[in-house]
Amino acid sequence: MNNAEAGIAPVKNPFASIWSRHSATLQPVLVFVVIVVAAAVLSNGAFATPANLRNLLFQGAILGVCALGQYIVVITGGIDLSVGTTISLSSVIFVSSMGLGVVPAVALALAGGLVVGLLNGALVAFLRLPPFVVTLAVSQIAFSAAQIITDGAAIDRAPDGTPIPEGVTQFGSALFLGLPVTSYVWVLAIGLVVFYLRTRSGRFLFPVGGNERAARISAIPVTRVRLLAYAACSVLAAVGGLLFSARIGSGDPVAGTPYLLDSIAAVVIGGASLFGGSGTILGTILGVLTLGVLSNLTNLVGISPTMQQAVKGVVIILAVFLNTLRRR
Amino acid sequence: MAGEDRAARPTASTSEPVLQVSHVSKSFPGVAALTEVALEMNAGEVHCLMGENGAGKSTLIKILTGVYRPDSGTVTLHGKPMRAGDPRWAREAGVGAIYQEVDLVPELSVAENIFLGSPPTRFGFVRRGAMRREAQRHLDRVGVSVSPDTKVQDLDLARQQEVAVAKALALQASVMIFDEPTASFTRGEVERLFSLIRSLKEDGIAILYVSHHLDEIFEIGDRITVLKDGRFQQSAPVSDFTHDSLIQAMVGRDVNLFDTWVPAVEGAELLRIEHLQAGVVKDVSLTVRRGEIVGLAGLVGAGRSETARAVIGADPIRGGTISVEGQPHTISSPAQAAALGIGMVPEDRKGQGLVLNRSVIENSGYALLQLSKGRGLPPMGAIRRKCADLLKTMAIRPSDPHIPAGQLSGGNQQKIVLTRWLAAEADLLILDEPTRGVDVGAKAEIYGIMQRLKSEGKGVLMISSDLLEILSQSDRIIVMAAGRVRGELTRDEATEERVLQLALSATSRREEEAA
Repeated sequence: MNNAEAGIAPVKNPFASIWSRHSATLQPVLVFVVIVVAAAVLSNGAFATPANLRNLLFQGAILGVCALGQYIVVITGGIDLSVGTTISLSSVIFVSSMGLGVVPAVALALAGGLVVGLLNGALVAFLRLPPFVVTLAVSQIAFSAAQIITDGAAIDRAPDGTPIPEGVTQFGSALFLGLPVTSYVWVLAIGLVVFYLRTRSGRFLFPVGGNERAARISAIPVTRVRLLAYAACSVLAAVGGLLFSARIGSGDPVAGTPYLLDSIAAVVIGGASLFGGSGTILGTILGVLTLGVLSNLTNLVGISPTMQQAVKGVVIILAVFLNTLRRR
Repeated sequence: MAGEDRAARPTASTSEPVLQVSHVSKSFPGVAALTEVALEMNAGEVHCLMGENGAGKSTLIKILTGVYRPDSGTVTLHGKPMRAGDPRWAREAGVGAIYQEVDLVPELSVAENIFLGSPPTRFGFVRRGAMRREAQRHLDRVGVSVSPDTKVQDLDLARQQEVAVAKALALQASVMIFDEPTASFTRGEVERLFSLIRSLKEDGIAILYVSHHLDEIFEIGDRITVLKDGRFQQSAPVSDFTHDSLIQAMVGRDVNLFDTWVPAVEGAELLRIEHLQAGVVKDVSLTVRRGEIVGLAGLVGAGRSETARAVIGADPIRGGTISVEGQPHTISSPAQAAALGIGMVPEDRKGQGLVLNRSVIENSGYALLQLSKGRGLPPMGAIRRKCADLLKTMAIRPSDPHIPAGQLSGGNQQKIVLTRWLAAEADLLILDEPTRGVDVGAKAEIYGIMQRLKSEGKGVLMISSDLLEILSQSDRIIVMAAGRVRGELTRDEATEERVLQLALSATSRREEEAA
């Protein structure tokens, strides 16, 4: 069967064909490169200094870990609006249980994240409630929980007076081979998610998000896939909360708030569709870095902090525009 | 009044074509969908557009309705060039399209749908009374007896389609495109549609009719244009064609659809359903053995698809038992059914069969991936190889397994879903309308696959509304009506009349329930 018989004639332009096949990967790369070049040019050399790049990674690591979770949920066609409060909750559980020792405190914080994730997942997967509403509501509950634990204030020690050990804060600010230790945690999380995407459940994220009904009829255990996705997302957010506490040296019941929208923005800039079924992990990583360079850039160029959000907004709109353009 | 409007148009004269397509080409990344296509539509003529799936019919329709912009060439409507890529303009200029999947808003009333986007208003407020009256007028003209206040979701597909025609009339369409309108129709519904089309014809509307049912073409068509591989192949009056010469023109070779059947082989019982109750299914008992194709016939709404969905655990069961290879099972999900060796190819390929934005090869591997249980990561290499090999034997076009499944035509999409279950080595395949919307060539291929499966000792339960398909492919025929099994026929005793008799045996009851 040759092409002519099949009604398919190859189109000559090789760039068009490369773009049509790899646009999902190329688009976030393109956006990232443009932003980096802009940063390098506009900042008069202040951008590409080791100190500045290191700073970028310090900020990027926390968002990076959380955005991975958001990415997983977005592929399933869902969204997790509780990422921010889960970060806060994890952060306050960690610091307030410091009296038990660092390792149990880490375990408790992660368990807190897992509970949030299983609650989200159960409501979405078993009861088939809309993710937007479910995670918004669960976020409110987690927010109250975080407030109650600390009486609404940021804490730097457990109720019994145990402070955060120096080792923890060192971990949050230390460098290894010239890079922040926390950024290695991000890399580790990326590795874990890449592995997850290769498991059966991870591979099924895409069909579940692309067409749930078809996925079900094709023998895919949709409920389990969704449940795991939300659980994974919240546990990653909890890791983000731990990184935050290590970096700042406190447990803060509102620490996570800015990370929610940034995590969604990173996934969208990374080229994933909020309707589900598509998006690459590389895109999300680049999305996180793009957001980092962007706020870095606005600082370096001297754009007023009040304008930073607006610049971010414009970039997000551009990215979404490119996403839709690409799918037309 | 509608008649006066039309008389005032220059198109009422038959001398000049209402719509003319010349030298139109359109390509998508990597694919030339149409090359130098020509088409001429005249007032009061039913023009049939024929071709295999993937021949470019859908692309051409999308150009005519303004959804796509052609890369080159011209389309003129009443002698004036069409505004390319502007669906709204096309609609208002009088190009109406009626699709298999009707594009009405299910939650809105019939009247609201008919005037969607341009309701009669006064001071910016919708004049509900006037809208209802106008809608009623258009409904009367179409001859459909539904109230303008009925919600579209409460109508069956045939009724919805008639509402879609009324909607096009309300926009004073002078060109009406029917894209596989009868795919899920019963014979009676087809008759109604044809008498409607004849009356549209008398009013001087130019009609473009697309269908895979050749009989319909010879019954309703005046002229046939054949596309093949995106190119204009032939255009001539219907009388110049025979059944065989039309197939020959479309496929480029002789196809014999009904000689594929091979005798069944004796095999053990695979599936036994006893007194199944689920949704509209009231009482269904049947068996499927290895080495046979069981045809499940009946009217649309008889509960055949619902039976299938209940068996694979996609819908809950109210009562009855299901045994697989002699063992009773409670199947609560399609995943569980797959583990027992049962796979389903659903009727609605796009909605339930495929994940359109994912690749062909990924789509074909889902069931196998789920079933390849074992320690560690799933063996993707082996799964991909197996699927790629099977896809090759399916002669899927285009043959690149990495393009999104949504870019393939209906017949090729169906082959992907079939491949999924072949890869998973399902023992029992439940095929729901396996060749609906599939072209002749692919249809013959699918029949070949079904017969091959049977001789390999697998069982097939085939739901079909196409009587010829049921009669030519099945070894045994079970007829359902109103949620119950009405009778069973062997291949030898089955005739069109006997199947229909059984299928209609509960019609009066069905109508009672509808009323």
